[in-house]
Amino acid sequence: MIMKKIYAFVLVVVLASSAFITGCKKDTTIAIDDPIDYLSIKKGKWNGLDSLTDSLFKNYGVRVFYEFNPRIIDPTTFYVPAQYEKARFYTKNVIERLWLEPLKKNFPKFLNDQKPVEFLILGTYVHFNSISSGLAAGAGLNGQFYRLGMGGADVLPATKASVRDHMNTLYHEHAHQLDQKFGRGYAYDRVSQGTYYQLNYLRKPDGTARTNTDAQNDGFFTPYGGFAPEEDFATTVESLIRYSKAQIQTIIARNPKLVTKYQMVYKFYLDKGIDLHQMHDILDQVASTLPL
Amino acid sequence: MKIIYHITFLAVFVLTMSACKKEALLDGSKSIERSNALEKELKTQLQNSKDGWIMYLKTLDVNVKTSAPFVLKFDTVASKVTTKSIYGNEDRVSYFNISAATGAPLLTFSTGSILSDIYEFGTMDITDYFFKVLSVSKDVIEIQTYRKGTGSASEGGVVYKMIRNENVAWVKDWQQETAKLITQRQFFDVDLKLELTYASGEVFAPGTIAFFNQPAGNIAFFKASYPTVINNKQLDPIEFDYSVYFPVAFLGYNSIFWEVTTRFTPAEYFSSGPAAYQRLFKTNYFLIRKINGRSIDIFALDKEGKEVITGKISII
Repeated sequence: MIMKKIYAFVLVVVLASSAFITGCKKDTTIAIDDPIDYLSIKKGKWNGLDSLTDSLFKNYGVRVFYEFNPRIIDPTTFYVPAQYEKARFYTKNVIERLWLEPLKKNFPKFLNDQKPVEFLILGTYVHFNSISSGLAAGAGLNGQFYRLGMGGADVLPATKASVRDHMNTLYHEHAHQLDQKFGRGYAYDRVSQGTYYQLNYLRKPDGTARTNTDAQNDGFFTPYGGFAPEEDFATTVESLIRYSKAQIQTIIARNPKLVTKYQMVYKFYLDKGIDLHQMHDILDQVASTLPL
Repeated sequence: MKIIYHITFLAVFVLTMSACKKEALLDGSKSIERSNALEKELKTQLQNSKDGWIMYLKTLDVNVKTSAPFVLKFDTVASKVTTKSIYGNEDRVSYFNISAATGAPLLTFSTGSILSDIYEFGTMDITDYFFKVLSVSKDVIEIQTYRKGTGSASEGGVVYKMIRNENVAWVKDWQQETAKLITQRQFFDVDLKLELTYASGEVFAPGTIAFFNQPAGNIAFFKASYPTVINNKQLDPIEFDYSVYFPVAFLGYNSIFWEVTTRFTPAEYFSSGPAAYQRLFKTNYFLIRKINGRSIDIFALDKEGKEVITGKISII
């Protein structure tokens, strides 16, 4: 019994002393580790395009991405980056000379309020969910607020006509962004309600190809505009950038619905600080002086 | 009883004294350390091999017993990688990034490259241009494609071994010929004999083949629209006839090769034709060892870089 008591006593003493003296060492403050950035990129020496994209960011507030890594595209998007030389050509001629510079010079309010903060240059086309999906230049990628992206930089010919034509598509894609941001409006969707071709936009019921004039007679600027209201809106913007004011007047005379849509879209943009007719002329002029 | 008391006492005593030692919390710092060390080693080794690293890519066709070599030279200061392959002799330069990833560094071919061309075209087993770096040593760097080409697939595709390009026997053989086959007109529009010897012992009965130029209109189409030709300026599309087949083939850097794709028609040119060659020849390419006056020495490699097909094309 004595032995047991001694054991018990020693035990109590040891427990008590260990609790008092050593305790469990506690940190005085709770250490919170910095979050681990698993995607951080260590960028080495800058190349020419890095400097150019940086100066564009400083001048216009748009960050252009030409290098892809998991920080830039998420694991469900399968875009392929452009060739370096093609990306450099695209950044200089399309993004700087034809898009940002004329906007800043002529419509600074529009640029300031409506620019995407990021721009993604794709080598080929937009693939969602699978590398083998789709051949679209911009669809889907541009249904978001902060980032605009364009496909096909690898196959864009280095000619004045090609880059000028590409601007029509760029404004088309940007129109999707503004549509997402503000909404094209209840009234817009009522203009051609019930008459959209849906997936049959390329061909007429008799199987022959549908031309622009056919679509315009039906109240759409292009056959693709007859696909659905969102493309109707975007192709209207695209047409205002593609055609001069005089040409637009001829086109809208073909159907009163076009007059309504034209007035809505023209005002939608004018309210945000840009005159699309003027921009058409500016783009023609700037494209004609490109050193290509 | 006493023994039990003794043991109990000792056990409790030992526990009490040792209980307060804490293991460092699992905060990920070990993983970062390991990843950083691997990344540093990766950079060192990538830069150290002056002739670069060789990666072998297979087609998805099980009939094909060979793998096509890609020699990648890394410049870790400028972050550039130069590629030599059947598609071209170092005319493709792209940028690369090394980033941290979960547990392993990630090697990304961050601008368009021959690897991203092939990946998108789907003619070989490569399913991404992001690669997890699995291991690094002086002679071998193991990398694995990060994704499998679809959003719903699990992570991680094929594991590739990049082998240091040093004393690799076939490389010299491949690089010695300076003449381009397309300029050696004696081999065009005539009957040629194709002889192949397989290391596996399989027998190929010699057959008659012929090379023809593609018409100018077709060449313009390839340059504007055919994914692996758009950016590879050294490729010459030709017509390669054998037996009842006449598919499109390409003359690249000391190479003759063909690709199977259903993206273009007619099938005889782009899919069924080249697929027949993969079945009959068991390869999707020949490397050119030497162009002689009246014959061409050719060979092909397996995924270890072993010469498994040796052949000769000669004017009949």
